[in-house]
Amino acid sequence: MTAPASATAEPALIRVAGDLDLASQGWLELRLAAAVAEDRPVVVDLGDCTFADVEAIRTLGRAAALADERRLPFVVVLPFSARDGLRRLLLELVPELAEVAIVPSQRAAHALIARPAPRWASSRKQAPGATELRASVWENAARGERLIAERDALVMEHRRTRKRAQAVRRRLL
Amino acid sequence: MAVTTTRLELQLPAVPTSIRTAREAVAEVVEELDAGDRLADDARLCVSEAVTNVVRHAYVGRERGGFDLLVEVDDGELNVVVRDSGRGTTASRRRAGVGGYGLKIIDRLTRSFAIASHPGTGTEIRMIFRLSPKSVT
Repeated sequence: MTAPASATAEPALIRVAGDLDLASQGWLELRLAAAVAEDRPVVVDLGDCTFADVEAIRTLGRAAALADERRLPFVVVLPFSARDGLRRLLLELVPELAEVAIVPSQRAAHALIARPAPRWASSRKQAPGATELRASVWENAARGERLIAERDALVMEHRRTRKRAQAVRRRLL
Repeated sequence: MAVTTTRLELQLPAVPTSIRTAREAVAEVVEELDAGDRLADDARLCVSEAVTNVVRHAYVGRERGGFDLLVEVDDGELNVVVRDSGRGTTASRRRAGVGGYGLKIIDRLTRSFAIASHPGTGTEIRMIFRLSPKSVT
């Protein structure tokens, strides 16, 4: 079974900054409903999210189920720098999110959406141990992202050092 | 002999913006006690869920009131109490799912919790967290 053409469209991105609780619940519901209604893949980036309550996470789960019915990819971005409490809430504590793809970066979200034969059908069943497996998959991916970030920082540092060395050499000559 | 120390006493209106005020105030106490990020996160979430229930359910059909937030340290435990003077709740209402998911999380993250309520006289939820030995003062 192939995904509908709309599933390959540019994703609708929802960036969450700050706290998700009853005070922002209406905003979250509206944004998610609008994104799913656009018939595009949905990416919810929790990169700047500082807190989420159970209802906010369940709302994500409901929106993901709705997207799933329409065969639209729905991916949550939870970066490796996310607060531990948020990580546990998403990956362990709220069962409604057990079947939702959670990745550590927007880059990983786009890669997941771009896969040639995405299985976004609604027939996915949660196997025993799936929650633990998913948590370890996220942790491995997060470790990968962290290593890439560290490598990038090292490369930048190396370039800066080389420039400083060249400047010193020029002054000496 | 165990001595109970009150670390925080707040009265807040039962409105959505109080939820954040309440959870951050409790998290601040946990941080002052140097009791670890995990306990701060757990307390933050549990307080948020408890206060959300107050804001959503306590004053339905009556004039909106407030709630008390109390944090005590007692014999290696952190006690957090959220008390309203709303319509009260019953076991059957809780079974029907009123505040149900929040309570499940509270049940998982606390050492224990208790709800005292009678219809018409408000609700008190007491959540007990274990403090690590180094943070007991």
